[in-house]
Amino acid sequence: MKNIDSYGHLRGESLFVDDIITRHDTLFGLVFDSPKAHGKIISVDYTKAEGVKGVIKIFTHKDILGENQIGGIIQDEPLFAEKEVHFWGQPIAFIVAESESIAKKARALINIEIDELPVITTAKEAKEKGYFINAPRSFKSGNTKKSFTECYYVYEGETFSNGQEHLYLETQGSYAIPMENGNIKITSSTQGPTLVQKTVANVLGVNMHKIEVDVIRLGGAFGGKEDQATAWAVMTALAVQQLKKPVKYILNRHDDLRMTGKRHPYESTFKIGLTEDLKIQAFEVVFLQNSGAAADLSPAIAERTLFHATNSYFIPNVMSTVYSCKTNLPPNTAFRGFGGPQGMFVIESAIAKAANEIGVNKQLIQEVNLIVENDEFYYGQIATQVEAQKSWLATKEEFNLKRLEKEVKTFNKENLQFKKGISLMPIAFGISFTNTPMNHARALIHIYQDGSVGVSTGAVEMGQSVNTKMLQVAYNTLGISPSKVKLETTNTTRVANTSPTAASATADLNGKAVLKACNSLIERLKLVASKMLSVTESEIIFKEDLVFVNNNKSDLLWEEVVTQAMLERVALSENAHYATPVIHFDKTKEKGHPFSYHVYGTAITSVTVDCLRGIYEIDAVKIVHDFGKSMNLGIDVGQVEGALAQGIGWMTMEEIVYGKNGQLLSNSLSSYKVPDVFSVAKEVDIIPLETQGNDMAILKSKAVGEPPLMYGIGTYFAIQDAVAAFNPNYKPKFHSPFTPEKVLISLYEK
Amino acid sequence: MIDKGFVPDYFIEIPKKLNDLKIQKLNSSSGTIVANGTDIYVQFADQLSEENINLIGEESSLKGITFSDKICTIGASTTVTELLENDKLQNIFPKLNSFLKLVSSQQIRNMGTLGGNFVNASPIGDMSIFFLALNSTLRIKNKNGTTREISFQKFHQDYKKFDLKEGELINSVSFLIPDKNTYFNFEKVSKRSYLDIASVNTAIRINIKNNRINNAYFSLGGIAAIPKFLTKTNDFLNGKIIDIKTIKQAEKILQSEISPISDVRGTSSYKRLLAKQLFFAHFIELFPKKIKFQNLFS
Repeated sequence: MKNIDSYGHLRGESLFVDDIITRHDTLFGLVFDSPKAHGKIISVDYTKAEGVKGVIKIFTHKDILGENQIGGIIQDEPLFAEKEVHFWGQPIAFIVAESESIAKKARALINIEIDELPVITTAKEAKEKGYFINAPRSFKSGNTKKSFTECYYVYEGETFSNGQEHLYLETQGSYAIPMENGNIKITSSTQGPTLVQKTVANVLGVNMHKIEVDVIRLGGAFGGKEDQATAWAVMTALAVQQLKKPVKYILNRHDDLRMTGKRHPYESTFKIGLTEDLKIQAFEVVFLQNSGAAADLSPAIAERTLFHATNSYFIPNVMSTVYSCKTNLPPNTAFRGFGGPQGMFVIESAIAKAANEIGVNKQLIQEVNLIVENDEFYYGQIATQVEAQKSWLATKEEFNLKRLEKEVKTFNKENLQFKKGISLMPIAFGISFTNTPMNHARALIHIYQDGSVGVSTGAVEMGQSVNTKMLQVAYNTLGISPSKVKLETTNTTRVANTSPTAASATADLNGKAVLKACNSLIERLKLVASKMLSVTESEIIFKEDLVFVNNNKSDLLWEEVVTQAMLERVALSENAHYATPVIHFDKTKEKGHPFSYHVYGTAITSVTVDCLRGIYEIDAVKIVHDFGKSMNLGIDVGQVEGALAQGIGWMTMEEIVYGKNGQLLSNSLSSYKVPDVFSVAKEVDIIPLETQGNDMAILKSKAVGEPPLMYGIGTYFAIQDAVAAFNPNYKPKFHSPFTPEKVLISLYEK
Repeated sequence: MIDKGFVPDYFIEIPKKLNDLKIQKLNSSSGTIVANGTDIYVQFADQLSEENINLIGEESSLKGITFSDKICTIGASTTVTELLENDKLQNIFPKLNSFLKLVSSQQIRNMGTLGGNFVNASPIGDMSIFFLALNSTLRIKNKNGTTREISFQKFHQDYKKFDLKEGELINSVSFLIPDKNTYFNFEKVSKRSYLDIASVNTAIRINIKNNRINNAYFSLGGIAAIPKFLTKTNDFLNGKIIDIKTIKQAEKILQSEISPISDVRGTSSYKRLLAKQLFFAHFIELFPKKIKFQNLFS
């Protein structure tokens, strides 16, 4: 089945926040944000701005009736700065005017005086000065200290991975309208409608039931709208609360780039120990996470970094520590992979370093250390239904790695100016919110009396096609045609207390709830139909819009059963709740079984480097991926391709640059580059791994949103391989992204 | 297309709707000069939306690509796409397509003009670098219609400063059509190969006479406050035989002529290294028999 939005998207008819037809009295908002990264606010003069014709009101922290606080995990982030600013782009005020251009004019007239304080932009500096978001966390297994003394090889090194801008096509935005009795309805471009509802209520000083949040769909989010869509929604709601008029705020690209957080940059150090036959015995790693000026989701992201510090390898002795370092950057936030990619980059770097020092191919070390059935992940989860080796071997075989390697060797022998490189990248990514209490979802299904069906869930459609999957679950379970089913907007009034659409887990959680609800409805309708046909319930199934008896078509239509059910006053609506079983994690011991399952796969990446110009092309990425039993291969392959491109971008060209003063320098699309069609791999081959699928996944179809992003890490090491083929003096460095600048400098380093 | 559902019904109405539009009379000769606005609207969209502007993009006197015996003259409002679609230019520069595909995007190539690129005066303006190496001449016209000509090398003076007085406008750019003994190459390296702004870009035009360089015009962007014409390097190359020694020596001179700064497009040491590499790349591309990669880097 195609993505159900494809027709609307192609014709430009799909609705986003900015497409809603606004009420005639709508006002427009604009944030005035800090022009310095750190300092004490001496004064802000709004008089000139307020004097601009068409400016209605400028809101500051003084106008907040509830709490000036939007922090989630830790309450450390004000909606509007009060006495101090902690990052460049921190909201200070919200201008509401008759038009956006009037608001812009007013913004330019605000005078602010800031007494500047020292600015910290790197995690290392924050750690030295002792600035942290929270206490550091450590996971451990075995005894690394003892193990290192027994290792044949021990190496140490350091790595850096940069941040990444989400660059959702649709920027952040919100439209809030006053309803009766002081209630407010907000249409927000958020991954977390409940978080918006809760935060708005807290800031406005009202209860959650006064606030309705509706999400039609997002034009991309990638984690950037999990926490960071909230502030704008709160501001529009705050203005509505006091002005009693609709207020809309859609961020322009520059404001969005400047004011929102990104993927966390990490500075890390590692120590790896191996036996003579290349078994990794011990691994120590310290991650310095550049969290930005407030917690946001940083502690949760740090936690997932620890979970993925060993990627798909079994290592008996591990000690990992993460520091969430407080800096004067916009609070960094969720981004596809959620700290996992940063963790995996370090272990892959450690293996590359060891391989280089020992003088063996990196793949040899990777291969002999892959996790196998009943091994224990170092945080205590026993690995079951492991597909690490299977995908590794399938990748080597399906794509004839031996031949590819030979081709690279021959090419490199024959060419001087151009060198090819190749790498393998295995992944094992855990599925579930690592915070166990968040793993739940609900679905509300209405069968209308004409037999058509409305499905509401807590899942937010953001281009990943979750609505298509929900629709598939519903129509397959009910045995009716897809055209009879409609996916409703995600709305806090219909489905309450939801977890954000995140962690790749949304289709699983909400899909299971849809399944449960549909099954309950079917049970009731079976009873109705069995009476109509004078057969037993167990003989009945619903299929092809008909009732089947013992697998034979009857004449009884779905609609007729629904009509009869109405007459019999049978409930045709169902609200189902699903909470993931089995999972648990004890944070006092840092041990448990946090994931419902893991997603596995392996990618081969090959690149060609132009050693004259220092530029490169990605020739091919060939992947064997563990989809489980994919319920929609078209959509799932699309997710792999998109995630891969995003991972490649993170590893190659996407370079976030802040000045020493904390100003974002890569502040526009002319200075921040994501991969285009020419810079992704020329050839992408994706083969589904044959597996039984996993019962914890919806219809045995495994989560797919985040895991494939980490295939992109392979590109870094393929480029490194090519550089090493050209320059025998090259000392491998692990400092991503591997931009053309770093490539050229590496090619000619002495 | 409409019958088959590829485009919505309202497409048929578009020409009529465009005709019916009452275009606001913001166009005035005293307003800010705008050709097709691909750059100025990025920088000053809010401001310009309320000001008078002087739209010159459609002025026929600024359009057109003409060829006389030896000279090619291109109107300042010519777009990059118009260069690409010109058969004669394609003949003169057989690799024009691959050069110009490195310049911005299809949409901007369709709109962005040469004159606009010159007066934007970016130190890494692709078209500035291209036409500098062609040793071009600019024809500049003032309000009274009087024209003057200056060498393009002299046009850019300092960062975003150029030789254009109040009321003056670039009319056209012209250059000597390369003959069969003249070689031209354009190179550009950016973070992303396409749709990106250069870290360093460069062009060279070399005329060979009796096996020696008769004249060389080498331009380099991203390494100074202006798109740079490297006079000393060019002077050095004149009269020389093309061999490894010559270009290695020339590269040393090149380095003395540039002063790159570190910015979001690269550190200064990277830009220096890139300048070297791309200088060599010109010769490897243009004289593959004489200059080989392995001889330069071994």
